[in-house]
Amino acid sequence: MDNNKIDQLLLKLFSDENSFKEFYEYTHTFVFAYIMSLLKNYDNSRDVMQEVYIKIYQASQNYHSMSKPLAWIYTIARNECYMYLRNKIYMDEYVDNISLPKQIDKDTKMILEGLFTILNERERQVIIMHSLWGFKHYEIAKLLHMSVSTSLSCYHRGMKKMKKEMEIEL
Amino acid sequence: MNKLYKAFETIAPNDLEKIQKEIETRDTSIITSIEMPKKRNYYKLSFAALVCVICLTIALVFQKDNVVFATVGIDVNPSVELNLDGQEKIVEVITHNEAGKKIVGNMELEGSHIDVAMNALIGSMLKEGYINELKNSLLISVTGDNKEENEKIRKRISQDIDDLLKGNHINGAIISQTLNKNTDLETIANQYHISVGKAEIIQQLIQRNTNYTFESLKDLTVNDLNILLTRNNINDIQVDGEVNTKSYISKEKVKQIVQEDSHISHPSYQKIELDCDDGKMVYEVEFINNSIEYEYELDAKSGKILNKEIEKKTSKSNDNTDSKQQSISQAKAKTIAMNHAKVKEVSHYKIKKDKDDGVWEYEIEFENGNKKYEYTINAHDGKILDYEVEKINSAKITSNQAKQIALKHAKISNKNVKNVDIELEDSYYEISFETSLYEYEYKINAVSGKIISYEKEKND
Repeated sequence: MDNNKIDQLLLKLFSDENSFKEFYEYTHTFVFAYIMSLLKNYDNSRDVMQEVYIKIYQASQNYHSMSKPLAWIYTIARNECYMYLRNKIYMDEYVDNISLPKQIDKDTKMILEGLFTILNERERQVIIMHSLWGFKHYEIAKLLHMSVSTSLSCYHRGMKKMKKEMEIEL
Repeated sequence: MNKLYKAFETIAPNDLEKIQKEIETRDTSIITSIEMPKKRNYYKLSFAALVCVICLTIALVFQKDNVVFATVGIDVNPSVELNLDGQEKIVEVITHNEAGKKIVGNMELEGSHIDVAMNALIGSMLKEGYINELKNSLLISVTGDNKEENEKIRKRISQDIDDLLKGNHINGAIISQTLNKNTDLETIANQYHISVGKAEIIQQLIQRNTNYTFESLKDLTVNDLNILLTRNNINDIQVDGEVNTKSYISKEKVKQIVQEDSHISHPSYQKIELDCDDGKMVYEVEFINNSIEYEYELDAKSGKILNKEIEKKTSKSNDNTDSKQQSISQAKAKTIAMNHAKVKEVSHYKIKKDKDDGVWEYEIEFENGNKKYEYTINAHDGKILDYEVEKINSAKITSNQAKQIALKHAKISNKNVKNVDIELEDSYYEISFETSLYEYEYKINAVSGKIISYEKEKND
């Protein structure tokens, strides 16, 4: 993902409706993927994503131009997910099952099921952050508080598992 | 990659309208501040703390009548602006950042005289540790229509502050300037969330030294900017008192470090200077020994050697201006990548030198067999930052050939089959067909034509 483009959009986000629209369209797929990778539940992820974009909108008032705005977005999304999970666990409502939208095609279903059943949370997160967000491994290492080699091996192990057990090459 | 993205693209909900509606109903005055993940690097932490030093800007904007006659901005890295009326009393207080908010706290400055307010603010800054003997620089900028008044206020306030600091046994270095109203500058200042006064100083520095960029200087403290002003011999800006560089290691210490590193006891120094590189204060050291030129770059806080370059001085001047960074060669980077990939020969080799986050990197791509490799290698130390291996889809046989292979294997002729369906998956063809009796499903390697698996089921 293009950090520069996102930076420019974020600077205009608060005052310009079109920027918000463009920003949403550009980012929502990988933001959603990240949220879903943590929550596993489609409907809940949808709710959380809405919150994330509202937070981004509000926080963009104070946004300073930076070279890695993706990390900024990541922080908002992560905080929102953790807050949600905390509440759910506190209310004793948390169910650790995957739920996917009902009407999806076979291929998509297979990829997502593989992602959520075969991979563990760390592998899933690293793959999504690397492949979709475009974070470098050393950046992932920093964000997830792990070493670069852990990030690398999680990524490659995850890819291998997907290939071996689902015959999917991502 | 595409598959994963596509999968999520299909399911990612498009709730834009709903979100926009929701935003309208929420109270947008709630200010959300985002704490970035903390860096574990101790040095960076202390640097960030240092960034919260002092920038004191007083902008006085004179206007007619009693609305806003003047604006006084105090900048404690975040900044505070004070709008004054004709009696130099404060009409409005604006804070530009967190530190500014902290300094103002719940002081009710409105209605008090500028001198009283300044006294209170400086006191607060001393108390919070934004000003001390190590961080002794202040920036005062006075903006307004009336030049004479500006000048008067500037002199008075800088004198007052100096006295105030001396009372606290601090020798302040006060940068003061009067500015004309300048919309361009205001735009830049707004964009980078800094005060107009600081923007002006940075602009002066950039004009003098093209190595600087706004991006790299905007987070520096006034103390650092003051050092740079001295370093670049900018004299049109009034500076009272001497900037303190004791928060950085001394030149003696720098000499000691480079001498130890180079094992040279008495080099003749050409240059030892504090400068800014990529938003970070560094010492630049140059010396010559036995006609070998040494260039060092040291972290000004920790004394860590960030970069060194050793070069034989030849009679001709080397045009080695490409980059100051000492870096590994392209061939070396290629070897590193190939060794890591454990391949001996490569095709479709591509290399690109690129700067990411202030770090030079080689981006290398090559192919070997049916695999495509992508490496990112730090151009400075040759460390592998990132790599990826991908299988190349190179279907060598056609779908028709695949079908023939399957039919041949099933021992049926072309005319007896129906419902033939051929699909190219990543590396194989999936072929299904039926005869009157059976249903067949074949998977055939798209490169070699080998049968990976097949199934035969009774037709019902």
